Amino acid sequence: MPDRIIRTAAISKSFRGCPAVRGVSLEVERGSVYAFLGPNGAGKTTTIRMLLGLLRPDHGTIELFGQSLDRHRAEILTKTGSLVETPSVYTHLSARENLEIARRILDLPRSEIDRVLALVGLENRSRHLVRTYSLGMKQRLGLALALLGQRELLLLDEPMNGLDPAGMNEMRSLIRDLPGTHGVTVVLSSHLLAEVDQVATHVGMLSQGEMVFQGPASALDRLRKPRLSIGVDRVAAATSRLAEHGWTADLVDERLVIAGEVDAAAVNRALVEHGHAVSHLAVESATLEDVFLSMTKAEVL
Amino acid sequence: MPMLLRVLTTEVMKIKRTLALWMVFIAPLFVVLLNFLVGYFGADQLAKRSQDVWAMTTRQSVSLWTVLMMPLFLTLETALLAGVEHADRNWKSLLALPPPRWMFYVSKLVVATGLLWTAHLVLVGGTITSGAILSVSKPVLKIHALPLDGLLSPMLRISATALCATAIQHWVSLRWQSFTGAMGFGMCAMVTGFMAVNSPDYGPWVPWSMSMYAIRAGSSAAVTAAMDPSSRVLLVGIAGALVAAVSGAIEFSRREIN
Repeated sequence: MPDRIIRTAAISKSFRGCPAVRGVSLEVERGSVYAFLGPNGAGKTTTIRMLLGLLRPDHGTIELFGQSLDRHRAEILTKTGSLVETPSVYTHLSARENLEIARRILDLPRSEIDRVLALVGLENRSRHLVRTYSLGMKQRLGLALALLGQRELLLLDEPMNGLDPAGMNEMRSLIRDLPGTHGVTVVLSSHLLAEVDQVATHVGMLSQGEMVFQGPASALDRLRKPRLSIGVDRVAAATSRLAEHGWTADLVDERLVIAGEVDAAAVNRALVEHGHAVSHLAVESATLEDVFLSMTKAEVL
Repeated sequence: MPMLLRVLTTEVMKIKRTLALWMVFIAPLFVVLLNFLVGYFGADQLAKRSQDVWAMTTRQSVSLWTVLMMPLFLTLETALLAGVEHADRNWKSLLALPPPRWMFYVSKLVVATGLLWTAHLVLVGGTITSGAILSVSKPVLKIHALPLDGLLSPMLRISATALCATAIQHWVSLRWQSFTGAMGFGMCAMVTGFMAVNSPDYGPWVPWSMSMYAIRAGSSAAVTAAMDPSSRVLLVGIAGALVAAVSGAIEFSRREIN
């Protein structure tokens, strides 16, 4: 049986009668990168705050490291680093002073500060006041604070916020390496699905406070059915011709699309033999966005 | 080092480069400066008006501080200290750390109290220094000695009785994010205290009038009761501060951080 580092049992949370999270049972395996996906307002941040003890669930129970969060809060939070939404840092202090505050509270050796600064690439600016930092640098400092003290679990809420493309790449590779090199389990939430597509080993999808999918990212891959996209002249006639061969084609963005696995060569041959000019023929996989949209029927991510 | 002490040292670290730290010197020294200027430029008039200019100067410093400056100082300091966490919504990372929440609450209250008491030391030191300068630069004032009784005793009473208002203002500042709200509460409370101080029924019980009441009662010649009004208000102030601090810490520990 896999070692679960997080296990919640049907947790729910409402704000003034408005449900934010409804019966979410989260299971995160040790050593995984668990992507917590959902559109804005789906309940991701509320769930992460409940995992950190910042909010109390109205119903359900939370266990981290096999222990109840209610009864072993201090022990659990010693092993859990977090970055919730925007980085919370003291802007009138330097990065080093911010880390010193957390270091003292966690009772760690001073060498920890240099270790995490090197890890997030802030050594050169560590003595500058944080108010002079860009949002991306603040985000990196927030991550350094979360990593301080050899944490076993990281809860990162929208960690790519404010990062430029290069910063995103760095963050992605750092997150990807954390389980292997530092033995850290990572839970990260995002509404930008492309971000987590490249790092997640497991995926949980939230929609309107409910979990609509949870499992290995590979299981989600199976849901990404391929499709054949065709650029062709005389679209109506081509559609009829394909139908005669038993292929149902839909017109999407001026291209004919046949869902499922199709023999592209046979389709091409059928169209060319009937005098059609084929300008585009490609087998495409559905993106995570497509899968997510089909599951949640969300209009906007 | 025990966890509470570690948390306390981090709270001290956080006031570095803040207005809260500067105000500890600015507020009392402003009162001292005003009194010094009155003494320096109005030396002749003061010499005619009073036989004991030093006693009058210290009384004015203590009164000006207690009635006007200290309530504003308390309000501003607690709001600024809370603002360090309200800004950038730092609570969500601070309270996701292992120490129990009450430790953060109590440590911040200790820092606020420490800043108040430091300001009192600055006021005492500044008043003595200004008296020494006046004694040399304005011989007409005839300040030959600087007896400290009229300064130290009231300042000790004020330091103790101000704890209750500090504890309440601390809770208000942490409870609501609005800096303006905390300032507004403090100013209304200050006016209430100012009004209540003249009432023997309400004066000793309103936290913002306790300090004024304490120095007034302490200087009264008619202290003959088993427990004089000054001692009673001291006890009420300290007890009130404990109740406010414990209640605030309990509420803070149960609060949801959204």
